[in-house]
Amino acid sequence: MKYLIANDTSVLADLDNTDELLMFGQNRILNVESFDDTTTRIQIQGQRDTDDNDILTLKHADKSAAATHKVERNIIDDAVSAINSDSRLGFTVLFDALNNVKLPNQVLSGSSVTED
Amino acid sequence: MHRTMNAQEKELLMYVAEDATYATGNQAIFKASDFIGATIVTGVETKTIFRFLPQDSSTGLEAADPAPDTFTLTHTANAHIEVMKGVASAMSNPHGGFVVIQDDLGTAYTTDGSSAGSAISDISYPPIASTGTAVSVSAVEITTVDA
Repeated sequence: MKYLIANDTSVLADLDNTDELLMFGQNRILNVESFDDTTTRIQIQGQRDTDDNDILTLKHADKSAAATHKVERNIIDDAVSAINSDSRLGFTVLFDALNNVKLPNQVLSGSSVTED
Repeated sequence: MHRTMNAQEKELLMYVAEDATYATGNQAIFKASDFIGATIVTGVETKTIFRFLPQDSSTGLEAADPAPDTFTLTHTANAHIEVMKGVASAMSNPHGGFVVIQDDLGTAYTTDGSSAGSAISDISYPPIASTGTAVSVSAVEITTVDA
């Protein structure tokens, strides 16, 4: 089992609250869904409330624009690749706003972690 | 409650002890296959909580609002990500084994062996990536159904 980490907080001193940082196992992923033209979401089994779900919001370019219409398909590939990564370190950072880590087709601004 | 076994070639067990007195409820072993997830403790810059499926099924699968078993690490301020990375690396060993996450053995060395005068851990945490600040864990708190 490998583990995934996501952080939407870009200022170190601001790391202190809910809806900022999650770590979870690869098998806690529930689905990856299209939300709107610039948003794809990964839903995860909730931690604070295990019969609910946590959400990772991945922002990306506008898939309704001709020049970037494949962006959502590509970011789903990015996400699945990261989720299934057999990282030697034992973990994969999906995105980290503090350290400017993101999926190749992701836009960090507006990407977020939401806990239920 | 969605319950999924985390596939492990062999089980990995994580040991935590709150203090050197080893009173009832102050030590616990958690299984990596029971791991649910980890987050910041709400409103706290120095604590990360790790949640596991509860050993008492009356508070887990059958409960309307399941209460996980947990351990909470107190660490260098804002080092939540590095602490998560350290524990994730320890938990991901596919060959299983036994890992001391945190064993708080008191603050003063004693010649009778009851206190080493420091905490013991098998984990080496990376420094905070954005500042290079060294990361250490100073304490652990356990919450289980029997605590």
